[in-house]
Amino acid sequence: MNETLWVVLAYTMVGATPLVLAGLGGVFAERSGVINIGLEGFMLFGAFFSALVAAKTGRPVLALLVSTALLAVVGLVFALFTVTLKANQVVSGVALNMLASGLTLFLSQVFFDRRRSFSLPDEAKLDFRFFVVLALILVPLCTVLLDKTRFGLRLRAVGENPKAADTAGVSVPTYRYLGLVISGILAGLAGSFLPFYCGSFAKNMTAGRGFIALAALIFGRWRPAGVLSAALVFGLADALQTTLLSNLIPSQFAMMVPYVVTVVILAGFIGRAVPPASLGIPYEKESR
Amino acid sequence: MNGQRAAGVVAQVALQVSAVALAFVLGFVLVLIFGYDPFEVYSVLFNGALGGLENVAWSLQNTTPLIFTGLAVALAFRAGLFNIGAEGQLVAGAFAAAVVGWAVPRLAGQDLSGSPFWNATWYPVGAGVVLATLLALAWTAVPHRGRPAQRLAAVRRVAGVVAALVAILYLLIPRASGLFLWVGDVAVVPLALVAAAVAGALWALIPALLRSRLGVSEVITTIMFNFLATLLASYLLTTTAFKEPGAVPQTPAVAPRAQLAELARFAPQSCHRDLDATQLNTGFVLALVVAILVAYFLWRTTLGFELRAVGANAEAARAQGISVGGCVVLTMLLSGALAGLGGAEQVLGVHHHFVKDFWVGLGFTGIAVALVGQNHPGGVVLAAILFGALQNGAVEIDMMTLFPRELILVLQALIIFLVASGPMLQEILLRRRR
Repeated sequence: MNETLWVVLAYTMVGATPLVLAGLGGVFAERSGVINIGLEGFMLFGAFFSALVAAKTGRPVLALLVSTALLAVVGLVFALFTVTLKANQVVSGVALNMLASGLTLFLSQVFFDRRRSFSLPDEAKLDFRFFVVLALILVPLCTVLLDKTRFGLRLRAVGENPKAADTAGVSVPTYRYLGLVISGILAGLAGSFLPFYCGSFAKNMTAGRGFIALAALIFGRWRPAGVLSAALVFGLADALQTTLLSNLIPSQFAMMVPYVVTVVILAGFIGRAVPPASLGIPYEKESR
Repeated sequence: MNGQRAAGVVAQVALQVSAVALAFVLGFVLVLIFGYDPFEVYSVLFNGALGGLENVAWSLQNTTPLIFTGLAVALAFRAGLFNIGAEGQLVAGAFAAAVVGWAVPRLAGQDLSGSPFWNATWYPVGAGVVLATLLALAWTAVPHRGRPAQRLAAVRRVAGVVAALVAILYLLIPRASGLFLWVGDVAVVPLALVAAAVAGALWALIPALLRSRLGVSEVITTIMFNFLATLLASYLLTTTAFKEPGAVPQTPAVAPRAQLAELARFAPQSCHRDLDATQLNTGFVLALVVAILVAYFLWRTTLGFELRAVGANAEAARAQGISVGGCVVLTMLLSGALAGLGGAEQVLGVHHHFVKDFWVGLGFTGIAVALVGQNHPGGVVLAAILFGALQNGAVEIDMMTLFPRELILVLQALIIFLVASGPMLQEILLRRRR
């Protein structure tokens, strides 16, 4: 019995870790006022870049650093389109997901002799528990960053009332760029977890986890601690199904939990989920 | 007389075309960077897309579902709604079409008078329920004074017609076996299409109600309903009730009478060799007709006008006495129905089964199609042809070159990014020039 408990707990943490990291990424994008449907794409890029560098160099730490740097660039590009060029944020997110799906498979075939998946050699693997600890450390760090620092205050102001923030001398585009870069880095880390945990990169290996992270973001009411608890609930639902209830409940129904919960939460049956006031609205500086 | 408007249209089309062209240039550079011959890759791509009758037919076959999902997204967008759930609605519609196309012809040959629902005990009860439903619907259609009487009147009218049809069928089936045979034979395709449209609409109902009643953004809810649809479908394909015996996760095949005819049948003999390989079917013609109907609805009917008014400025529309909530619900239902029809085309015309995962990407590509087509039915058809042709080009690249076919996904994503940021890019470039 005791052993089963540990197994459930372990599965829960493994399931929750990428959701926490990506969900934290979502917090920084959405609290600055940019809808991030592209979490899935960021994650897939993170998974691919870290797996690519790790497989080619055999140095996992280097892989993580390179992947993080590249994801910051992806976040910048996403910000360029959504903030500066004012492209529709939802459409851009859809495009980012498509780009990630296409480009990772494209590059995988270029670098790995026409193969759409590849495995990591043993020396290139990073202990996945590193990511679990990282996620648990980042939650309080992000809470402090958002709630107790000047940066956090400004980021939230830009997402709630950009006009007031602008009047007070806070550059709206700058903070939205920063929000998206942090979002890209965190979601990228969430993606990096996957190849190190599985020991390989596979076609579209994020498999909708970016969208579950989005659900965790809403369930967690756009707050880091909330994201953590939501991710734990979703991870637990999955863990219970795979360990104890696999004969009782079909896996599809356990997988539905995050989506059903999100719709119920949005409908306001269990408390109301109120998104940042200016979420999804590009900021137009008034001209003269 | 309409010179200014024509010029506006030309400018818009030019902007879209240049965005697409720019994406192709970027793709060209990408191919070059990785040391392949871009001229070879592009010539294979274009030949695969549009070279010869057979390739054109393949491309149009890929185009057909994209027209439906593109129209679904475009119609919703006209009312200011973002239907990301076209994929889920397509899955719901496809499943309904598959079940009707498989089960109805099987049941049609059987005498049902002794079976549940139609036996001596249940027939009077069923008839009573049907009559009560009809009476209730008739009552709700009566305008109430002092209330917003027009609210959902159109939805109720549609529901009333559907209920009446169900009632008539139910009452007549055991009495007229000839009618039932007719349903299983000639009417099964229309029945399957209607079932698909209804299923697609129902899959959009909860997001629609959440949006109209509680103001919950339809973006997130429709995404969630996509996953619910695919998970439910993959579960149903594990059950003995819906899964065909065998290794492939799919429903039993739809009856030959329930299949959409292949267009090859109507083509001259000389084209048969090219067309026979493809599953280009009458669904393509249906898609074009539906596109015309959507255009007619948007610009020639009162409801269409109200829908566009809500999309342009919901507050102003409300001030004019338009029921914004009713309009939102109606639009989402219609949008879901369009996507559902796309699913029916795929099942009845192409796969002939509800096969697991056939739907992947159809909904999201529909967003791209609506965007490039500027949410205009004509533009949607053209954009769907562009994306459908690209997909067939990808197949050709896979077969003829050593180059990864995923170039096409990258091209599609670049097209979306550039089209979505087109107006701003143009503004920046023009400002520089001045």
